[in-house]
Amino acid sequence: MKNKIIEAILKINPTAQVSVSEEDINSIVWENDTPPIPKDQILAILPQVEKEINAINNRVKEYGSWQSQLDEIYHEGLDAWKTRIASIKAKYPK
Amino acid sequence: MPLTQLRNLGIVSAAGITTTKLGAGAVLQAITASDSTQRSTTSATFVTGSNTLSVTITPSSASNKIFLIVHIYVYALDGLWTLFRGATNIGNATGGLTGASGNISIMGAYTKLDSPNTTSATTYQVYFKANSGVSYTGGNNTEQYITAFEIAG
Repeated sequence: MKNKIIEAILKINPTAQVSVSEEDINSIVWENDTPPIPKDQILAILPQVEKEINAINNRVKEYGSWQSQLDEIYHEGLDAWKTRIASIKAKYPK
Repeated sequence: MPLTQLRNLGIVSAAGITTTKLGAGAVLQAITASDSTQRSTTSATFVTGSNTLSVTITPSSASNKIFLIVHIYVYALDGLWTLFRGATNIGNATGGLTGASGNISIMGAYTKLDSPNTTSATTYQVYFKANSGVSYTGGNNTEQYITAFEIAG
């Protein structure tokens, strides 16, 4: 679960304190004196943020649970696991 | 021939009903509100995030209590949830009333028995914050509720 508006804001200002309803850019509330970021600046990086979120979601699905990955390492070895993870990362670039 | 007999020993008025039949512990009224919208925040202090989990209740006596039940859907790396009466946090100042961590979705509930000591309209609302990362409440086709019960004192 990642909110692309908040992720975009944090990409511009990693210490921003902000609240958002759904993914509505018009609902942004700047908390605790955080300086507002212009909407067009947020909108400009949304495509990149969406691509990163999609990549992360797809990667997580294909990685499998951490339990199954530990089992994989035990049975197949660390190098085999690293090769599989690298191929997933390459399949879904950020 | 009547099978039963009703003897009025103490109930002589509407006020009598309140004091005689609805003694300490009786539920006098209940008010609820809901929110199905996802709210998210990175705020380090408690904020509403524009949620609609807010109820306003007017106690009929200053000695009555307000019992609050909050039913929420949460997801957070390290988030905390609480209740405010007006501008006052009625949970722990820093820890609130409940929390979530590890980016795991939880459907849960928390409660609070409050003594507002007033007969004025009193508003209770859910607040939340993020100690790190982003805290989410609601969304994912869930419905969240806050319900306030006035309890006779």
